[in-house]
Amino acid sequence: MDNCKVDFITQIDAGNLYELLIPRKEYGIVIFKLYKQLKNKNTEFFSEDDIIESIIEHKNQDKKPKEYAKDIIRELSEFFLKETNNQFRLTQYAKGFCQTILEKIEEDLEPSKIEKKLLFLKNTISEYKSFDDWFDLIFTNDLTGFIESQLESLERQVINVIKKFRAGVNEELINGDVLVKKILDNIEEINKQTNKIKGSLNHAEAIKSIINKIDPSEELNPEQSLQKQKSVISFLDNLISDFERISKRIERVIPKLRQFYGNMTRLDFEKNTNKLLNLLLVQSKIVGHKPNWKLKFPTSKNFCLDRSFPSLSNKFYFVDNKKNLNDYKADKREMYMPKPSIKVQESQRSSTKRTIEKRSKLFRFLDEIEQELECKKYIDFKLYFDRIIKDTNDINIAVKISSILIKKYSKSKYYVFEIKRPFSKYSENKIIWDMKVTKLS
Amino acid sequence: MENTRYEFLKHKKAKNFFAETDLWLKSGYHIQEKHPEQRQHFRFIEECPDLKEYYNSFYNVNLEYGYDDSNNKYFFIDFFRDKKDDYERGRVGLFKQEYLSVEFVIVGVLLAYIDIADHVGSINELQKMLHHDYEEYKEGIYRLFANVQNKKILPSSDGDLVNKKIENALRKFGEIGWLYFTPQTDKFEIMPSFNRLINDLYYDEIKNFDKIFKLKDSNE
Repeated sequence: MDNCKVDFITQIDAGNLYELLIPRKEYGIVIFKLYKQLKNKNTEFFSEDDIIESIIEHKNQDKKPKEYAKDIIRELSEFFLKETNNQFRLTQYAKGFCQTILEKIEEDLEPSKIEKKLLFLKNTISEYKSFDDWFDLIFTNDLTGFIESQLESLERQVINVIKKFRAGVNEELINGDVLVKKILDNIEEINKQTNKIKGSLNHAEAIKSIINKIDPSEELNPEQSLQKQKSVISFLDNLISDFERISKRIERVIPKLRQFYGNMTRLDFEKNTNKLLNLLLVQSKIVGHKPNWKLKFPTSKNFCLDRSFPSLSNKFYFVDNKKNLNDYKADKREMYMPKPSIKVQESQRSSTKRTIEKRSKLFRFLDEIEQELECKKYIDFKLYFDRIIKDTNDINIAVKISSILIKKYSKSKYYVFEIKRPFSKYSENKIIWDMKVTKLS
Repeated sequence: MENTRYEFLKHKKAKNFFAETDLWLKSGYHIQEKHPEQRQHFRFIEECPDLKEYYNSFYNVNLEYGYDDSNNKYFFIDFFRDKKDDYERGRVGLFKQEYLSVEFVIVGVLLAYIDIADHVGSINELQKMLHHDYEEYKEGIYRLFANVQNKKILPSSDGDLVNKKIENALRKFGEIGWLYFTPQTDKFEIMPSFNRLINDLYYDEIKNFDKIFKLKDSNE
């Protein structure tokens, strides 16, 4: 089987076989024209002139018409046209080709058939003892293909109605109400069909729930059986979701179309929105080249299409996606933390120790001074100043204490504050030492 | 007397909603009741009519509102327009203007046009519709969005580029409240304020298209 496939693909890929079997549009159209004549006139045979005529009336081209038509006939003669006694007829392949495509285009919606097929699937799945047998014999491509193509047909019908509406609106002379009424009739008919299909989707749900209860281990090849189950469920899920999408589209479209009824202004607005879109697409300018280019609006002194919005200048801020502060606090986030060397750590430790020692000496002296002031109602800081420097070997502590005393007592109304030496012009705090404080009783 | 002017600050919802509403409005968001994340903010604005004066006095911008075809209201901040109909920015040193790029306007007008008589519910749907149902716009969009000159050869990378630009525009519309995206998906619902694109920002150009653009032809 695999060998066959490889051969088949290799064959179609080689040379120009593909192009000969599936003609390009301008050639294919000729075949469809002949097929139409075949159906209408009931004639099997065409003269070369008949074919040339149908090519010429379809195509305006620069090449000499006869020469061009002969090129087409030559190419189509491989698979689509057969010549007998200067008469041409369509091959069976050509007829089948046209027939398949026409069936696809004109496919009717048959909601009752969809229901029958789904009901058939539901009934048989319960009747069959083996799921695998049901899958191989009942759940065939023919059946699923039919259902899928029905949904495609439903969607195509919706699109065609909308396209018909758009085309009608863009015509120069339109009777808006006639157009809208006709379109509404069409879409409401489609809606009726859709509602019928909706009812039959219950069967799809029922089949899903039956399959969910089937144990694949009871089958000969459980793994394969499970895959088959999954493929059926996936088919049904797609069916339901596609249908919901299409049906939602119809439900939304109907009221929108109704709004056009008796409202020419709205029809004109629709028409002009399309015009604006086309103007933007055709007249917007490309500045620069790929991969770096910019677009510019069509410009004129009479109109400006630039529009702006206010927005905050600072758009970049960090947002923590934690739901609330508690979560945030509980969560220990990983952050980059530099690790200092042991030497640095030791030096930091000793520096901290020194600071603590200094601070305790400072407060010890300060306490002593203040206690003396409270007891004797008088202090001469000069005596302390020398002692502090001698004891701590640090002039900064003595200066800091003097600074505290100045701040605390110089402006207090309960103390008399005297300082013999004037303030230095360099610093208030660092050389003041000769001061006396007296407490008023 | 002054204290009675800005009553919205004392409103029971102010503590929870004023800051965010204010930030959103000044960031160019459009606020509507239909948007699942904006209901309370919308009601707060509705219940505080003096907010209009606040924006007028302090920022010299307009707190405006509009309606969609089904009469759903939405709020937004608009710049004043001067006599020449140019935008006056007022005391908006705080803000910067952000222009709707050509790509955004094209995607917006395309979506609005489709939405007039059809329905789109996701980014993927719009991307597919461009290829199947609205093929007439495909060539123009590829020309501009992917800088494609030869329409017969469309490498898939160009398709990806076009899709990406469509997605960027739609996500931007989501940011400013024109669309509501179901969280973590590409599914969206068109919000009432999306109407503003064709019913306000480009209303004149659409309504008087023939007059405005024919005038252009005759002058150029």
